[in-house]
Amino acid sequence: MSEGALSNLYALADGDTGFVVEILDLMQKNIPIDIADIEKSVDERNLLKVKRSAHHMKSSIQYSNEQELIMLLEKIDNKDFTSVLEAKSLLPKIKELSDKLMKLIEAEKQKLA
Amino acid sequence: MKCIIIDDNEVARAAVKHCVEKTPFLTLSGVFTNPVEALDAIKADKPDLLLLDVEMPEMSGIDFIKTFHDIPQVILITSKKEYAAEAFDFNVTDYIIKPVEYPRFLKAVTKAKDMQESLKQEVPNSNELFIKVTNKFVRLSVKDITLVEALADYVHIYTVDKQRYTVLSTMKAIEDKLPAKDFVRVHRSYIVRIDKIREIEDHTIVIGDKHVPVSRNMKDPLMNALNKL
Repeated sequence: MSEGALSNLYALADGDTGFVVEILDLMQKNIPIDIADIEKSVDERNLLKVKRSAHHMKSSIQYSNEQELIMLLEKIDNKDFTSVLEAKSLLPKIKELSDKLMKLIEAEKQKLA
Repeated sequence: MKCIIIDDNEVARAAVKHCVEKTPFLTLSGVFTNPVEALDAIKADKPDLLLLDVEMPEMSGIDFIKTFHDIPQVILITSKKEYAAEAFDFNVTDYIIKPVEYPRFLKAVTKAKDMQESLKQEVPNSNELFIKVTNKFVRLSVKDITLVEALADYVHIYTVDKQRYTVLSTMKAIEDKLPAKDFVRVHRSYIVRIDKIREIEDHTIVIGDKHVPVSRNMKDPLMNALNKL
């Protein structure tokens, strides 16, 4: 991941590498939890929880520039989104993009170590 | 300025905390994952500013604001623009869209600081209010004010002796001059003196001979402000 892919985070950090690492650690910790929450809520067919979990994940990755993933989560979080089945159909793509993001976060951490 | 952060998301909390720590005039007095947890700290520490997320599972930031009669200044921080109109009904100081960027954060908290300083420079005697009526200033005793009504760029101020004064002002400016323990904003266009309320039925207050509407959003703060049996 280049600094450009995390430009929002680096802009906020303003040279504070410790803060960048802190946020990367939190993203690494939260993304799998958020994914598991979305999956569980889909399995339970609980639309409200699906939307809440998507909203939470969107906040967790807000400082990455992974726009495709952010847009999928925004779609689920939108008030007009009403289908758990549709959320289920979006899950494989969300997981794929999340895996990619996790690898990129790890690479960035290695670079900063 | 003492502030507290309330957000259910760990990344969001860390980002806002970082912004607070970068801002020399802010002191962080607490970080909370939900509004219910923050209640005791707000009562005990009396922060000047709440940095509050809107969408949280236990209680939304906007519902949290509704529970207060005399709330500190609030900056809402959210990923959605759609709450802005409702939020400004509660006189929030500012509204920031996530992800938070420091220049925007600094602008919002500077606005809060400026408001705090202007409130400190209130009229020396807060029991009285000088209002400009045509070409003269008239002294009103705050305890005599029963009702304030918005009228485009003007407000009508009603008093116990059934006088009505028309003043060039905003509701926000008048509200800031009136003691929050005695007055409550019940509608975008109405502020009432709590001890002059005669009746409340559904969404209407009777005060003197006036019937005043209560907006849906303001009903809870109004009811919280009353000494009920």
